[in-house]
Amino acid sequence: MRFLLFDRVLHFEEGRRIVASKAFSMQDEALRGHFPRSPLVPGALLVEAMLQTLGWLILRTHGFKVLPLFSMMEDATVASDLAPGVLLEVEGELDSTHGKGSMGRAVVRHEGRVVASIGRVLFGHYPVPDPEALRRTFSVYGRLA
Amino acid sequence: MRYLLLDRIEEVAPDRARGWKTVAMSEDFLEWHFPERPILPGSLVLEAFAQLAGWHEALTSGFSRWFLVERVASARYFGFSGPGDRVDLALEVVPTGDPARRAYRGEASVGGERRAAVELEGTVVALDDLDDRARVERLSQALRGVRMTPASRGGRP
Repeated sequence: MRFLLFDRVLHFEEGRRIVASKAFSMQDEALRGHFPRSPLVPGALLVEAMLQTLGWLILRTHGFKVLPLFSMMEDATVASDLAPGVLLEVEGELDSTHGKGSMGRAVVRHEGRVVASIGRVLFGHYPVPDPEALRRTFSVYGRLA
Repeated sequence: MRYLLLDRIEEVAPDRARGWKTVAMSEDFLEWHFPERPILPGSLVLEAFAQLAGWHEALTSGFSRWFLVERVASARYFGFSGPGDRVDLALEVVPTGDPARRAYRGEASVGGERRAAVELEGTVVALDDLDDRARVERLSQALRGVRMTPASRGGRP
């Protein structure tokens, strides 16, 4: 299983803003257990999609020289009734980003309806010994870069 | 992949629940989170708390209800958890005054050292709409560490 929670970057403004898409299909393994009679997109995965989208914005902004790790969030919402078969738009914005950390917020929309949001999120930045290796690792996203 | 972010339910009382999630190097999500640096994703710590809250609701309602998270007022992380860690989860019920709403405060620790603190809110739904009640009840026994009794000693299928 890959733990990659966004599919495509639609818009990218270095250090400021990112818009990505994320599809949740009936095929998603997590939905087998969540739940057998009623597949519902887990809120934690909507949160992870927002964190990874913002994480990618930070990674690219800093040239893969820092690894952003999520340390705090406040005021997050997730829909409890989102069924698979949806193509979501994930928008992340950074209020600040520097060598040691980043602060931002994010929102997920489905056909205009907000299905998840994070009011404020902090990332701590960790040193990356080999930025080129990290860039290659995420070459799965290469056509976005 | 199974989406079971809880390995053990230790205690369920009307106002609290305790359980744990162990982290194994073989878990699939660690391959990408992160390459050469396996860390239990903070979002999955959140999911572990949400599932413990679900079990709390199920076990205190005779398997008639389940909890679904709708709001995370806050989630703070004080350190990483990774392979080999047993993440102990302690959940405390926060009264809401609304019979259809639930709120919880949770604290995660590894070896007594605090790793995360979360505040969750959400709604309750009929368990029958989500899953087979008897199946959930059997799974709850596995999660509570109830051992099977051999047929030779009176165990029944």
